Amino acid sequence: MKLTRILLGCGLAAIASTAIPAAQATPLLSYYVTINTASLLGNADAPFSLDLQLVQGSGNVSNTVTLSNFSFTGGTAAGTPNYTDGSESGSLAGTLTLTNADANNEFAEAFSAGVTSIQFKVSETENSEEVTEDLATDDQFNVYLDDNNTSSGFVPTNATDGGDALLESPLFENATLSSVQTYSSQSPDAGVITTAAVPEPSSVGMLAMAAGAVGFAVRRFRRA
Amino acid sequence: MPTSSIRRSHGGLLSAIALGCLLSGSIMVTAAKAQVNTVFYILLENRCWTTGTDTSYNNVIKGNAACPYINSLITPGNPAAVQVSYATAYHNVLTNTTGDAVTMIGTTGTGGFGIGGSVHPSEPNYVFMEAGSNLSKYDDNDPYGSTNSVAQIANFLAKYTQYSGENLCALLQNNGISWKAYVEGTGLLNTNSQDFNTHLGNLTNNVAAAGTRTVPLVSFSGTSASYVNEYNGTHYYNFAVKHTGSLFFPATNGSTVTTANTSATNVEISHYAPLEQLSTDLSNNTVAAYNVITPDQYNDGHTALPVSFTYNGTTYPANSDLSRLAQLDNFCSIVVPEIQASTNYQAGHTAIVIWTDETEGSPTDDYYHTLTEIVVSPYAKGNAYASTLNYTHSSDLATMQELFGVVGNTPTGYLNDAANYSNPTSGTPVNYDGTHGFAGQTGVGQPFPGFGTGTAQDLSDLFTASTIPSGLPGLSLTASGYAFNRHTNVYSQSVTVTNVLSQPITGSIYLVVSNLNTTLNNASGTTVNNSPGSPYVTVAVNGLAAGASTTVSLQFAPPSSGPITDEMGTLITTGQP
Repeated sequence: MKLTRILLGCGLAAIASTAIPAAQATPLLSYYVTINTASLLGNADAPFSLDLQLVQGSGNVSNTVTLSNFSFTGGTAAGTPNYTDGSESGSLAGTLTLTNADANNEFAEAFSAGVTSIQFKVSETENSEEVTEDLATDDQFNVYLDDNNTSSGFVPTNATDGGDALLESPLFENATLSSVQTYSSQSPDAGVITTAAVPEPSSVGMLAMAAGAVGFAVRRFRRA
Repeated sequence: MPTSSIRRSHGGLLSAIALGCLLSGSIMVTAAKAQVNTVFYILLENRCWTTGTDTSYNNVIKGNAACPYINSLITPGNPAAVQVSYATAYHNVLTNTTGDAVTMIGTTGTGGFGIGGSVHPSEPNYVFMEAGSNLSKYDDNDPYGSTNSVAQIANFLAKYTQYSGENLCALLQNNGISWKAYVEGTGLLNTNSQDFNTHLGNLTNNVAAAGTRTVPLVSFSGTSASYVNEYNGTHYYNFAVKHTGSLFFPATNGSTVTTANTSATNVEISHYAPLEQLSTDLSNNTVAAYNVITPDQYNDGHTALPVSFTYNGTTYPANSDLSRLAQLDNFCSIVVPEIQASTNYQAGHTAIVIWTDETEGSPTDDYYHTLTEIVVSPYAKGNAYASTLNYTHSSDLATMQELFGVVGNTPTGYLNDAANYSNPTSGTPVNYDGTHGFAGQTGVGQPFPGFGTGTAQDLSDLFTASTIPSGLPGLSLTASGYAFNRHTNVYSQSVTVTNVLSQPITGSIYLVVSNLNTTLNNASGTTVNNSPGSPYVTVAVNGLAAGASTTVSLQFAPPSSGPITDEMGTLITTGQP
């Protein structure tokens, strides 16, 4: 089931999507992801792994997903990945970069059993597959939790494609935060894992500043 | 479903339905091949293609020595016929015996649609070409002025809500598809360098500059020593508004129901161009996707020149019947090759349709009085292929809606009579047979019901297979990106199918994945009758309610290399996919 927080994200999406450097041709979308893993405490399937993935679409454009500001509340990441595939570089200790140079580009790293929340920042380039090619499928950034004791190998989720992702973000021009789909899980062991994507704080600040400016203008207008 | 899928909607190209096929048989709508992205309609007047045994009318186009060019197009083996197909049974749109529009659609009609007369004179046929109905028009009045055709149509639509007031060009522009009317004699200057459309005076060949032109909403004719017709070489001009259907709809004439907008700021002016601009637009590849070419009333065969006309070594007397034929043939012999020489045509993306509005003769309205309908295109079946199916103006309208994927606000998406079944029987006079009948008659003496629940016979038989999409985009198709499970080695993708029509789809709906570079692990089966050999998944066994959506998951094996590539299409059928 989709989280209510993503609805809040929808309302702020315009702010997020307009956070594009003026001189930069490539559109960008930045947001924070929070995964509530409290329900995994004490779970026998531990350790779980955070799995980050960029899958190439059918087109022929370049895209990069930059991941940073990782925090593991209540624990730590393992320090080294337990799985990598395709084009990835960096680490969870700093910045991790996935590019769509290969069909699948993936990085997975375990985290300790005490982690109750995982947070990180996502910055995506949003180059569309050939716009005139209506058949093209977008590149897509996906987030999973690995669980070696489930049939899929991931913590099962309600992702509509059946792929058990916690988050799916197709990369395309004009993408906004509302394009980022988050899913939840009621397993393993009936624990609920929730995922949320929210604008980065700077965007929220911009929104607040904009709202303040509007309010100020209205006051001045009324006085006049 | 990711909202990105809205942007990635494949509805226009990938999926479509035809309600007729939903009711009986199946329809597979795959990705349009985009073979034909540019259409030119050359609009001719009145002359019959054939007249059967009508001895009162001998000068038909087919086989007439005054029309050597057109006849070369339909002669198998002739080099001009290589990319040509034509209809042998294109009929005037039929109506009741009285020809009265209100009776036609009212409750007291006695003639029965298709039993009695046919739609005449010219104007209602051009309106029909746009809207699939004459919308009560049975005269040649200009759209505005004391005999206001636009207001008449509006009054009719207000009273008879079973009709759609939409027109083809409006659907195109609402869907971002370009259209343009090249109207001969308009968009020129007078000898005082003023817009001739509004100032009249002495006509010249000088084209009014873009930004100063006006939408031509008033007919004019005459002679000017300062003007030489590019095609027939005379000083005569003769523009009739009635021969351009888009000028009768406010959505495409830029005016209101009651008031003509003849200012240069008319928002629709960009869609109207002097015929003199055609050559430039062809050279620059700036023609529209849908183009109508309206010759003046001499070059379209409506009116004989009042001076003798020499064509192809023969001089036709002034005001002679045969001169009308020679005039229109001469026009086609220049314009068609000019379009064929264009870059877009040479690239294989153009179709030219030579069309005629109405029959003449006595009895004008029998089955054997037919009209010219010739397709010239790299995707015509070619070598003068002769289609014997029954066609009317509704066939053209249905075809253009399908080709450009534009859907009207009607139960089937087709406009008015384009949503009524045609009699499919070749070589058979058209009478009500219990199921079929021109213009949707439901029985002798019964009124025309407005838009129907089927599809008129489209022109697909004149083209190579799959050139004309088999239906309208009634299903939108949206797809996510891929998720990859490294543990199970499976790619996942979700696809949402939505019925965008205003009525239910009752057939089973399948999603067909063709040209796939890997395996669809969760395929429901492999198609046999449609795009044979392609994997498909079942979307909805019992169809979809109007506006309803359903999402399916696709599970792919990894390709041997690179990303997954495929083409998706929807299939609606009551039988074997």
